[in-house]
Amino acid sequence: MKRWAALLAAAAMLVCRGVADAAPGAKPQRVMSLNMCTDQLLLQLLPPERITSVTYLSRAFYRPLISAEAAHVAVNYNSPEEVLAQHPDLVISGNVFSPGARAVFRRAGITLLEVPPANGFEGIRVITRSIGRAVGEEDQANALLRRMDATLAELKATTPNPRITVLGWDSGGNVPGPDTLFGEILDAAGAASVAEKTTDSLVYGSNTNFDLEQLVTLNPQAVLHSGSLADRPDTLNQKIQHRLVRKLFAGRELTYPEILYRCGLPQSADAAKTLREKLLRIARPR
Amino acid sequence: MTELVAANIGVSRGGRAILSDVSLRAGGGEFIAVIGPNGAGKSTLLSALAGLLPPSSGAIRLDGRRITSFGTSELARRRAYLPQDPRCEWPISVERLVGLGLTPVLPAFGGFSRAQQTRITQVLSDCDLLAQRYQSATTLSGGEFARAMLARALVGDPQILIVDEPMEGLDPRHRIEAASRLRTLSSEGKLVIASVHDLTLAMRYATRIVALYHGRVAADGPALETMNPDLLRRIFEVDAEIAGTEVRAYVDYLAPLPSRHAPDERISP
Amino acid sequence: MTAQGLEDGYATAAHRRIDRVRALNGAMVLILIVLFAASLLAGRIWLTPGEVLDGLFSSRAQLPSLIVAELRLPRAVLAVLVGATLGISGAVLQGLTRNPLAEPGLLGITSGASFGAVLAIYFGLSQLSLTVIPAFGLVGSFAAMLLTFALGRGGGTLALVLAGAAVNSFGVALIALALNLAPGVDAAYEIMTWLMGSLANRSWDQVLLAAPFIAAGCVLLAFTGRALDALSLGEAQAASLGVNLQRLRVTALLGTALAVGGATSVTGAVGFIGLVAPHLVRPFAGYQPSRILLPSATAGAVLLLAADIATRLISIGPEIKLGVFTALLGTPFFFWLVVRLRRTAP
Repeated sequence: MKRWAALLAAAAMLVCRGVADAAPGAKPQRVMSLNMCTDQLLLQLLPPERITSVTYLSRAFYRPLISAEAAHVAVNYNSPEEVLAQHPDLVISGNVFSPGARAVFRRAGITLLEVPPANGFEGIRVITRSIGRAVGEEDQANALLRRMDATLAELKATTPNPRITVLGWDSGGNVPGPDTLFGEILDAAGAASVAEKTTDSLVYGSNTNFDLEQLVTLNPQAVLHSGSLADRPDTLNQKIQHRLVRKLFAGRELTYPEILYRCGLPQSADAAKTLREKLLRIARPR
Repeated sequence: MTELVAANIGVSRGGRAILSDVSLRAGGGEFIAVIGPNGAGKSTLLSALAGLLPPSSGAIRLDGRRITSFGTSELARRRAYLPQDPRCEWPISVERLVGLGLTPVLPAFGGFSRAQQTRITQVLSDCDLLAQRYQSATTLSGGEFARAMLARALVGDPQILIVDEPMEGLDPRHRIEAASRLRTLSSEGKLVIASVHDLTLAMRYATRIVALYHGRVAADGPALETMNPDLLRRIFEVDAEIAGTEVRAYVDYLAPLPSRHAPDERISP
Repeated sequence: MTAQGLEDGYATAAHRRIDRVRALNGAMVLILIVLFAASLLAGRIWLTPGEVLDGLFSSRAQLPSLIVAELRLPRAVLAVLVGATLGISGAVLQGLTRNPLAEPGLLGITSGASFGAVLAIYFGLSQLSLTVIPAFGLVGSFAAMLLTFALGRGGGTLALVLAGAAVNSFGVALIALALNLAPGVDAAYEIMTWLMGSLANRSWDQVLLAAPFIAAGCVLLAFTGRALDALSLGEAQAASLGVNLQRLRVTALLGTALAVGGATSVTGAVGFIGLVAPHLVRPFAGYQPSRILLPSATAGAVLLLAADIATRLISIGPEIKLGVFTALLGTPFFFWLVVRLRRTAP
């Protein structure tokens, strides 16, 4: 894990080039976010007047923490043309732009901050800090991270022994491995994924081959999935709605808020805490 | 004895009249050869008489009933039809090909009854195809294939046999055999109607000739009498003689006549 | 020599020939039973025959019995049903169009079913219940059927085939559009996964959902046999033999829409079975359209069951999807077919 964090920190440093060029202490007044996850961070760090727009995905799609409507912030559709039209001071996005688009932004005087997805809590720290720095709200960002670290420390101190066995599916019906944000949340919550007992190979950190036969054989104490959402894919449905799963895991089926497992946000630690409480209720019913 | 009557039938397609005012009375025991130049409407007439092409005007009656009032299966049992240039799409055996002629009387599932199997063998024997019984139909020679198609038409013992150009593409021996077979069938009481290009064979083997020209009946009468140089000149635009006598009579083509029609008046086939 | 004498003489030979189809059917049913049993034994966790029998017949809810009864048995049953459907509909469509390249997808029905399912995924309706995607798939296949029929009516078989090709292209274009406009990465990934076809994690719910449509469709298709035989002689002779060509087309189309629509809706798009199965059995059944219907169904079931077992046993990284597997194996068959046609063509 440390190795990943170091690599991530290095990567974040590289892409945060654009920020280093800004004058120290500068507070961009018009910030635009083109990534669902950075949307959420931005909506927490800045007042609506300083946000030009966030993506349409923060309307309702993955049940965001803060929706664009609630915050009275305009919405964009992730296109370079909108960036040029709205002409913000700072654009925050994932690594999606071509060198050509980057050059155009540079010429137009728009600063671009490209942020990788968070692969764990260390990644959350790096990204939250870099965005905090970029928008000039480092104190806010650090406060959020302090809360996160406190929660994580509290969870770590009270890790159940033995760990509670779990099988968690992401929204694509795959089982994320330990080197993912999902995996770290499970770890922080004191869970152990039964998928680690298999020898399946991982694709981008997730097990795509975990099938119901293995589930039945390994028999975790709880199954975890993202529940009913607007774009529920069918591969997940096949599994969670299967007669066998419904029968065997009745009462042991947990759902999680997808936005916190998918996006690395300081509140992901709270998700781990909620999971801990739910797991304890199942593992040690009073 | 079966009777097929066409009363003033007309067939139009795309606004053009293919047949106009054609009347015909045919009965069992006749072998009618329908002759005429390309585009005269022979195939259309045969299709109409077979009940496969409803006429735009007039009516066709089979044994007193309008042919359109027959159910397709019932009609299929009474009359057999062979189109021009028949083909078999799958390489099935000759026996099974002939067996297809029994389709109107077969149930949805199941094989042939013993009696039907015997009937198939009989027809194969009559048409000289026993040696090719299990051979794939697509590997037959032209003559054999023609016989196989005829056997298919006859296996259901229809009262009427309507064949479009049965002798097309056959060598002289097989032509004569085909014509002779058709004559034999008619003498057994069936009504045979065939469109024919070989006028000599038509004259010798048919009992009656119907000549079509531009969709109308140009002549209709006993074979030997109807075939005469005037008719040939009129409808085929050839100068010809009927040479020989009785069963040795033949049509002797001499020369084409200069064309009477302007090119744009020609009816395309 | 009397006809009866001739008949008796040839009876032995005829009997031998009929036996070929019986032998063929018998052999295939045997292979099917073996594969079915293998399907229950095989998987990432191999079970012993004792455990399988225990799982099937005992009422104790033990682990192996759960795996067999709720995971492997419905999967095997579905493989047989879907494979048989694809086989028989391929045979009927090849007989109807007299074209050896015809398969259920030819008339646009599989892409209609796929588009229906894709719509359900696209609008996130599949969360409501497991039945939503199959229901949409069936609606899609029916819509495609009606469109093909309406476009191609009055023009004979060629018009029907062309109409089917047009509807097929339309369905494929709509699916591409859906992928293009997919609201999130998940939906696009999901649509593509579904289009690759799979039998994994299917339950009795899907079997019960698809089975009535498959049964109804296959019954309709089975009744086309006699007419298809007559059609070997061409449309004019078939009509003269009492075959109602329009009714034949409607029956074939409706049967395919029901059966293939139902099957595609629960498995996704699986191709090539409907193309290959009839070709494999045709030589043994005398090339006669009606006699290859049942063998094609069993051959299709055998092929799909074998493919499904293979996808479960091949463990190189991610799961190989069923549709991908059949496509990879079906294409060499296509090559062989072309080579053979080249040799026999004039």
